[in-house]
Amino acid sequence: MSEFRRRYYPTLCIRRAEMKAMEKLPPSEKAKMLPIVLLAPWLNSIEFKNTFDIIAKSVGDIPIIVDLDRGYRSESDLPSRQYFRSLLGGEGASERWIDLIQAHDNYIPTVQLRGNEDDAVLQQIAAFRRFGRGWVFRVEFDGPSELDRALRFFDPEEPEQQLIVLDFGWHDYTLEQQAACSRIIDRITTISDQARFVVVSSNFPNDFTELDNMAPVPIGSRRLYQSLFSTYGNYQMYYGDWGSTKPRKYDGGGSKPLPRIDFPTKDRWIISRSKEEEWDFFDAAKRVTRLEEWRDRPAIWGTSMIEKTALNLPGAISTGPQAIASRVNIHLFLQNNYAVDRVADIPTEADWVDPIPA
Amino acid sequence: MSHLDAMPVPVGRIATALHLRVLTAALDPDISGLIRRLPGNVEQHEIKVNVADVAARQRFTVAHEIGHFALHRHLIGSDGITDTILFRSKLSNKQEAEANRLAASILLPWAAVHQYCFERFGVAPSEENMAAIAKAFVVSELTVGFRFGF
Repeated sequence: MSEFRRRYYPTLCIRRAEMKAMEKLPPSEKAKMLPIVLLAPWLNSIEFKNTFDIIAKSVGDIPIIVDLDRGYRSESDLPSRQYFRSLLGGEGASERWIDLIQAHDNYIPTVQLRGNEDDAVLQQIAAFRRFGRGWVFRVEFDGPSELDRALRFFDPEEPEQQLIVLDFGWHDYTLEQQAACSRIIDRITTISDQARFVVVSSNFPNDFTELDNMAPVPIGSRRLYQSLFSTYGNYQMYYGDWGSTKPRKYDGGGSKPLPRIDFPTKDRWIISRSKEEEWDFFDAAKRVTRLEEWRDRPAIWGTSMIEKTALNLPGAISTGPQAIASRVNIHLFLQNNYAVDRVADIPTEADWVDPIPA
Repeated sequence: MSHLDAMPVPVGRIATALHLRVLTAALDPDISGLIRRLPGNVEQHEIKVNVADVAARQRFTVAHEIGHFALHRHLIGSDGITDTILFRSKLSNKQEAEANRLAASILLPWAAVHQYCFERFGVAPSEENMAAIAKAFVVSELTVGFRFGF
């Protein structure tokens, strides 16, 4: 059976927050979603193998879609960086990508269009057809897109074997975005009304200066998907987002952010911070646990961490990355269970895994 | 039991060998773990550890609950024994201390830790190499100090 069906498609980078957040989700939740993992070197790893290891630790052995994180930048000559760059394009890139996919049974490949000639693309598709896991055209609209090429290589005779991911990157919801997206979907559904496609975007804020004192931020990717659903809901259109993160090019910069706890609900993030009152993580978490929305929280790692922080207990959130991992963990869980009325009732207990080297 | 010779000690496998099921759960934040007899089954027990605790802490909790299972099984009902973050429960302080001592002994076998220290540092376990012992055996430094009296 094809893995491409109505489910949640979060895009995840190889960064600490996403990897921790996924690791801490119950295995039953991971099995329901189909993550899109953007491969890149893991932290300062010498070998690229550490990327595969951290994915295995975080995501487990469930099927995942893999692509290359073309937003990753490094001037380093470490072997992991050299290998990564060798996958991005040029002679032998396509063969190396095929080898990488073949070596990992649970990886569902994206077709690497950028940096590869048509012959190399056809070679990839032939190999992916042999592997029998399906293949994905992931089209980014943050710059010049490969949509035309992707649609040229899309085979309308095998719609169940292929998935088209339409990734709008960091983009707030607007009517213009909705219209642009509709035009693209019209093109796809004209080629095949059985085509499977995912609509992905993120509007998680870059700047929090205007977001003081429990400000709510509507989740734009949900608004976009819902607005498209009335027109295209009877097609094979699926929801995706960036797991409440952003593409890598928006990382970093600026001064050290204020302590902040972001509490996701299904349709908005509530940003708990106060510059004026100089809240620390304890203050921010305490305010979150007083929200009416807190009562319907899921019983998972992210909410447990916020609760621990609000009680000032040992092991509480004390750094930005911990707070982000908690937010991503809750966001992934909620979007994975978007159709469930009472997420607090979803069983989340799981077999404990002894965290020692095997 | 051969698991006790391994380093770090695979406390999860010890639990399995004792027919104890171990689960992670979103427990109250001031609860580290619990052990209870499954309702309707006098033989089957389960341990729950707090999902929000760090790895070393979860390992200690599992070992502590194994301690209760080994020493105080007759006191574990279907309502179980629930341990706070300070490892206090409905049992007496003496019984909690017994479970703590057994937990530390399980996670830090005397001979294995001495062998590790002599091979690595050429000396017996000491406060100076407490951090290295904790890392090697995936326990907290607090547990190492408790076990060896530092």
